[in-house]
Amino acid sequence: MRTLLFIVSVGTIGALAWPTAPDSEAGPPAGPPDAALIPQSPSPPLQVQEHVLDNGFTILLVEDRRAPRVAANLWVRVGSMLETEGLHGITHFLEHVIHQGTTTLGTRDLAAELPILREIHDTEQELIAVRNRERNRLRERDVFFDELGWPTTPEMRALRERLYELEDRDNEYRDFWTTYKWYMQHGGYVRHTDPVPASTEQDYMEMNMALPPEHMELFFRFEADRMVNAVLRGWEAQRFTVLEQVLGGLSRPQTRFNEAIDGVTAQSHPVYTPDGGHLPDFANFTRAAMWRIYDDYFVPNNATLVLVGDMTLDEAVPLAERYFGTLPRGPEPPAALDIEAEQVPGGSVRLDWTDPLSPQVHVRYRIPGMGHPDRPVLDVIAAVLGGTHGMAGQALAASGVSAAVSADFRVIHTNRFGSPGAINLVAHAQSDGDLAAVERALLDVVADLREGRIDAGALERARKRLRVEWAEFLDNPQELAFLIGHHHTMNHWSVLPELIAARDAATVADLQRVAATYFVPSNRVIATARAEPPEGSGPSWLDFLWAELPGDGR
Amino acid sequence: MRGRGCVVVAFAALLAGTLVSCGDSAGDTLPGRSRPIFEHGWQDPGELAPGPAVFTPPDPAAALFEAPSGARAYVVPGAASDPLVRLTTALPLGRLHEADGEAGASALLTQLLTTRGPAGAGDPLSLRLAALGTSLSTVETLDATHISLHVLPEDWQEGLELLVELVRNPDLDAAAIRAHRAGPGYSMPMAGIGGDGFRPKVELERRIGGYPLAPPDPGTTVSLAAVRALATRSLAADRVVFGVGGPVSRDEVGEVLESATRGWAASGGLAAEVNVVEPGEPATGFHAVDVPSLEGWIAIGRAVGAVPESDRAALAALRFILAERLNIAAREIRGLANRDDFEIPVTGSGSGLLLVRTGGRPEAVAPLIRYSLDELARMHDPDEPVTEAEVTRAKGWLVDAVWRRSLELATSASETFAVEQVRHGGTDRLMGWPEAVASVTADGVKAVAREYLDPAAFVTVVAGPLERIRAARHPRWPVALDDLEAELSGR
Repeated sequence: MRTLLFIVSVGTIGALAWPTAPDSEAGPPAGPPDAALIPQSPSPPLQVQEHVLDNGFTILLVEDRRAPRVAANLWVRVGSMLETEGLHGITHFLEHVIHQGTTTLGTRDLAAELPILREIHDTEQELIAVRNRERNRLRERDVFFDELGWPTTPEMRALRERLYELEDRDNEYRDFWTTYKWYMQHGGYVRHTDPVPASTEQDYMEMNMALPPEHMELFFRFEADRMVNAVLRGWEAQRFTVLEQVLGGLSRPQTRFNEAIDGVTAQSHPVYTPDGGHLPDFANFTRAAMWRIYDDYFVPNNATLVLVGDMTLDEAVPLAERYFGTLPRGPEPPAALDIEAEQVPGGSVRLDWTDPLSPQVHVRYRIPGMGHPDRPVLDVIAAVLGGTHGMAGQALAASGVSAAVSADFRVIHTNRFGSPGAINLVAHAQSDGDLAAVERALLDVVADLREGRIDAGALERARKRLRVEWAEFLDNPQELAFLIGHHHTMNHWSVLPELIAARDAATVADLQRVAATYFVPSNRVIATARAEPPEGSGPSWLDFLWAELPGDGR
Repeated sequence: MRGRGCVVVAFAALLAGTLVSCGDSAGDTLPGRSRPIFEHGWQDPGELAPGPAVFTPPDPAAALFEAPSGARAYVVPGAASDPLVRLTTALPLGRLHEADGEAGASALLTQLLTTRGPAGAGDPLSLRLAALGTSLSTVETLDATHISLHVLPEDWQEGLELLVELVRNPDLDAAAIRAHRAGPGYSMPMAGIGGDGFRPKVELERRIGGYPLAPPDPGTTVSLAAVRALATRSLAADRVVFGVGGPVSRDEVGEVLESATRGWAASGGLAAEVNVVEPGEPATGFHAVDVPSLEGWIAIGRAVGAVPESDRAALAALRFILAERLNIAAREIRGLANRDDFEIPVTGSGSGLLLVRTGGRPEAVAPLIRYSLDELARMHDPDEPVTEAEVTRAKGWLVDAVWRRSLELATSASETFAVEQVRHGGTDRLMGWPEAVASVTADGVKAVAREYLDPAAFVTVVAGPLERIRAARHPRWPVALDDLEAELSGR
């Protein structure tokens, strides 16, 4: 058992003076590359207390007494990057299914359920065996729809029907949404509006709830039980619910474009696989595969509880001991992948999108994951470049082209895996005819950065914006708990205050050095979409997929 | 490690005859698992004894400041160490504030306020905001609009002066107004069920009530005179309410407000009555709109006029209970949708739209409509009870989650007070809300369900790939859209 207190003042690094250059809409004046920055007051400090139980369960706590509420986030180091081919999306699916109750929650009669659960297991095993036997007669790409009219066998259909029937029978013993109902009744507030108070991405799954402190024991009671005693109820229904989430994203042409850019950013790296999964894989999911993930990764020594709010460590630890502390330490989960993305071997990649979309240009560069010393400087660069009054917006205005520019990051994970991220400079133009000029302006701004021609006004505004963003996190316990947990799960929580301090301390020379390192053509993807692509897109595989859906009477 | 206690023993005995051993563990396991069930004696959640509740909301009367100009502000000081200040201006602005000939003026005025700089200012608004490291967040509803920004503590005065200037001296750019044409009222492409831009919601509003429930028709022009007239009423000193929450002192904020609003004209009695949605008589109960999409999106709703205050808390509880039932029926049991929700109006009069919103893949659309209507009918049916457990949950959520959270921090309380003042003319209703909710009973919820949830009064709108939706049949719940259309159109 260890208890540590970290008080990290993230704004204590001194800053040197650099006279403010007048802001100009006409173009960025050059600043001396070795100049430091205008002094600003330090970013507010972050005080994190860390406590580790004997079984390896970690508690991170930030006391915030402003309001009688505690934001709780339970993090498990598991995610879509660990999925094998053919099972993309199963971890997110698992997130839904473990919210269907446990051996003590969500059931009115576990003893009556158990024979049904046994039969479900046996039926699925039989279905797997039949599917394996019939595999060569199936078109793998389309098998998700085997129960909706794709080639299948009467035997397989009967087995799937049997699973549906068994789950209907099991539903008779269920109390739906049990933990969610308890949370809501006692003033629980979810971080986002989805009925499952959780999220899953490349390298994490997190369960979140903000409760009045007097009801916090509910969180410990429920989430400890969920960690070890989940029952995979409602599996078939949840498979389709998760599918709906994926389809909801794919309904947006912009999502399809963004995923395509991800697909060419690095060659076959799992960090760029959509965390919601691939549609065809939804037919491959099995309870057996899901149990393997659950049993391997849902152990206390692979989990962290982040608490931000009206609670002390003295109050939190006894609750943690009472629930999580009694869970047996599990075998250490399988090692992370720790693989580098294979780079495209030289030359800028260009993606020309043929699905009609609002005219836009993306200029993307591969960068290191969170925890790398250059990453904070890239935050500053993104803030300097983006927005109407960022360097890119100014350059476009100066060139007489109207476009809205933003800069963001794709895949902010995850140095722990040795995985890459990407910084995106995105400009939405008024018309297809402006795209060439927009692209030229963006690349010119990148060249300015590389050569240290950095607008002082844009840099000052960027630093202010980053400080306001950080203050917004500090003001919102739920968002702060998420941010701490996210950084701890993908690397270590101390990365976060180091990041903030490093952002405050970044100099013009740092910006230039980092830009010169990463913003080179061989590390770049340029993607363009048009309102009226010259070729037109033609049918996509989604069109083929939907065209084959069963028709009336089938 | 194992848990202890007699419950454990009983539980283990219960399982012993049924479960199978996984082979590598000492305990019982569920079929398919490699790890044993963790046996524990943890209490049932209903038996956990919570500590005392300690929430005391800030006093709105103590927070209220009124400048000689008539401009008011709710100033909620936080701790000196609070990281930021939230500045809000709440405005009586929205379609229900538009007079004859002003259709579309509120949306356009909001756009002019938030995207353009004050007249005569040297720097455009966006550059001044960028210098503060912030941007505007705008929420528009039928009867209130509020604009907020976050600034660092050292910048609160500059931010507040900017916000006052923003609403005091709107830049009514004649050229921009001449060029303005109302948009479609919805956002495309459709994806997800959130927001005012949800297309079937807008299509529904146009069919069951039209303007002002619905946005103005696409292409509607707004005159400069209309925008000026609305601005004169809605942006007068005595009608605008500010909120300031964070590490500030009330006296300092008062001084700045007094100075910044000096000479700002009051409305002089020009304020018009707030309109109320007048429910129309829809000609049919079903509409379908063909839209290219992977999925179909659904709105099922009806317009309601003013809702008596005595019904409001029970209606809010009804909203929670019906949303829970819809989600369990459509999502948890059948996997037809990611969300199936129910909404009620948030206006001061309570008038607006009662709305079920959902959507799903083509074969799920017709069953989604079927089961959503079934849940509406079940709630309306006098023989189908609302349970005490449902009401208890709803009451807990309404007070301890939504109400309490809106007042917990200085930042949120200042904004909540300001919006409440504009929408309800004071904060008494807000502060009395826990008491109103506490008085809700299952019978009371049933009574408002009888009053407002007659399924025959609801209209269904589907927007999506109609050919695919009509052709598709869900393998388990093979409801046909054509059959539903015939059934609902004949109402």
